[in-house]
Amino acid sequence: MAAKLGETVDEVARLQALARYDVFDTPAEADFDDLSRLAAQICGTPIALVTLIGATRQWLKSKVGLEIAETPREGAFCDHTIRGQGLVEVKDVSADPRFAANPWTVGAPSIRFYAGAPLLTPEGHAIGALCVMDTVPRALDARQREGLTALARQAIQVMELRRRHAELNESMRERTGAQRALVESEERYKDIFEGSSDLIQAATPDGRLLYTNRAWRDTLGYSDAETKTMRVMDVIHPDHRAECADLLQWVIEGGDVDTAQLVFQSKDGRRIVADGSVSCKRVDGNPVATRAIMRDATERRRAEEKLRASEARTRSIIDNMLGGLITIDDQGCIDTVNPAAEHIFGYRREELLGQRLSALLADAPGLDKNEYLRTAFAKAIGRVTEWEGQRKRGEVFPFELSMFEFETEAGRQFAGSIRDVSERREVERLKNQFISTVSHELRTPLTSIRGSLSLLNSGMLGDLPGEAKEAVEIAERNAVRLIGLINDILDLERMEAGRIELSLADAEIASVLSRSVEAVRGVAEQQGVLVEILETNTRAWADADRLVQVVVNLLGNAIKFSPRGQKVTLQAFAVEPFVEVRVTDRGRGVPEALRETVFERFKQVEASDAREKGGTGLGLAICKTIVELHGGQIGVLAGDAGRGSTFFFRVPDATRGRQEAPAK
Amino acid sequence: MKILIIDDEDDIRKIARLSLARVGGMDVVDASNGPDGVRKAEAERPDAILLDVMMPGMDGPATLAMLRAGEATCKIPILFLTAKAMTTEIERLRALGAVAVLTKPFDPMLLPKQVRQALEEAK
Repeated sequence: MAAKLGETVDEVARLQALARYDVFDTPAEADFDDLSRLAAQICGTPIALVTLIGATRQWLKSKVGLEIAETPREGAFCDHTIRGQGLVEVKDVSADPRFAANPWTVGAPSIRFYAGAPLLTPEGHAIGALCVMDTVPRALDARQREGLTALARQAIQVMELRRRHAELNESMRERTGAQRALVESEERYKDIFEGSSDLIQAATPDGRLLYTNRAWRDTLGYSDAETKTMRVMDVIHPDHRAECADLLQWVIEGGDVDTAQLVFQSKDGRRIVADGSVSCKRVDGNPVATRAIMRDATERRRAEEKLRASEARTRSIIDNMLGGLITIDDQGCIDTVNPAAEHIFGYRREELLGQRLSALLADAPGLDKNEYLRTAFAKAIGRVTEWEGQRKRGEVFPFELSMFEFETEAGRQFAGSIRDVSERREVERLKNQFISTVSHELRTPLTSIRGSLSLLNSGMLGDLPGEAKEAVEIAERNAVRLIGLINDILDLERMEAGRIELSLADAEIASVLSRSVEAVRGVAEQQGVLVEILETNTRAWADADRLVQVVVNLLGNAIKFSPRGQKVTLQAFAVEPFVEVRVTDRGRGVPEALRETVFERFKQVEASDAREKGGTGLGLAICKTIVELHGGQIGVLAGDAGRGSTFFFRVPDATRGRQEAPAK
Repeated sequence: MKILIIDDEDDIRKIARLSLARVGGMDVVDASNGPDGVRKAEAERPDAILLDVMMPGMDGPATLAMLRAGEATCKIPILFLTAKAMTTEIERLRALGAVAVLTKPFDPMLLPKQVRQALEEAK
């Protein structure tokens, strides 16, 4: 029978309806027991039950007067009740063929009377029944029937309420879960935002702050609580509020700004420039919040401003420097010209940019001008070289150029520092003229003075009384010294001005040394100093006359400072590719501290030397200049055993001449 | 030996005269400018001429040219006397045909000797 029942579509829906109440197989409950008890009282029966009919079982949710939990569905009284929509009343079940064989009729509890009202769900499914039973036959009156039916309705009401309540609970539970997930998700994002070093804010479209992250608050100096009552404009620098308002309006109206700049003002008044993006959150197309993610750019901006200032300063220096400056790219084209360079060459900047440098040079010697430039430029890197320039109006003039190389993003570049030396040349010319004039003008009167004194002193013009002769001697000696000084000054000036051309040739050093000794013989004899020359076969590439001048100078000093009876030694030897000449004396020596400065003009070991030992204080300076003109070196060493000194100089040996000769 | 001194500086002429006459025992004639020097050279026929380079008007080289052009004076050895001691200047003056270039200031005790030596070498 169960199978038969289960076959109908209604039975499936009925069982689903029963399941929805979640009441089958649940413990007894006072709500239903109260209803059963009330039903028994109203109907005056000893037994009242709330039964629920499952697929195969009749289960008693509540029972009064009967201690049975369940029965098989087949044959159950209530199973008949749920097939109809109304109350079923059987006055004597033993006389009713449907129930006469029922176990409860045949055996205990020996039921004779049954009345049941179906438990009808609002959809009309009968899921069970509220029934009363008695062991004697009887009948219900109308009020009792009505009461039983009402109580059945009440039972279903209770179940219905509970179901709704459970559903509500379920829905509440679901909702709480979703909320928790939402909160967790929010926390997660908040954590990210809070940890970000960017300044993040959200605000309502009308400007009330909704959210700020820690970096925002730390940077601007407000607490979280303070921001709750603040508006966006409260933290925008007063000078920038209008532009900020425009920006926010723009995003509210639908724009997005990825490279926005906001200028904030912190609580303590600092101006903070921040870069970032500003956008607007929309729901259903309506703006609900403006969002800004900014990065504090104050430092970067300050660094940029510093860089700009530094660039401006460099630019200003370059523009205002008196020397010309030109940079060229690796193709040799002019890239930058400063005003001084414009002035020097007489061209305007626009006329020069992109031009080849050769445009600024006077006609260069040789065949390929560019090839010449390349090699010449290589030589100019790192040192000062002299060039013939040509100004726009055609005038050729000398200029000095020193080149340096530097790397830029655009590649290798060269910069040339340019100095117009035409004025200096003119000054040099005037100086030469002056020296020449002085030379003549001083020598002429000195010739008369010195001549007169010499003649007087010689006795040719008659004998002089003792003291007069002494005075004339002093005058003559000093006139000679003055002449020497003038000669030395002129000599040095001429050499330093590069007006002395060395007559370089293969020079035999032995000959230079013997000529030098010959020249100082008189002085040496007078001082009682012996000069010895050690044998040498060295040869130098030098101006022999100038070398004699150097050796005579060194020998003169050596003799002057040697004690009577001592020896001065002269020697030469090869120190490839040089020849070294040494003059060694046994005099007082040169203190270590003075070994460099002794070659400077008017630097003598003792301030009194010029007076006592004669000499002009220029001798060693002249020697140094001559040796350096040869491309050599000069110096002084301590003498043997700390006594005396050794002056030495090196000049290129004769092999230099063999290298240079073919070129000449 | 007769020497003609041509120099615009009176003092130099006097010193040179004293030196050559007293120390060197020479006969000395002098002139204070180029044209006068040329006339004296023609008239006196000296054995050598000591010629100053820088003189107002006709200078040393111009005077030398004039002496070289004159038939009577073209053979007389000429020694320049200059205050310019630069090698290039000395070479330039030598190239003009002087037998020697003596520099000022000169040593009056050595001047006669230098003159004699130069003349010896020129022979």
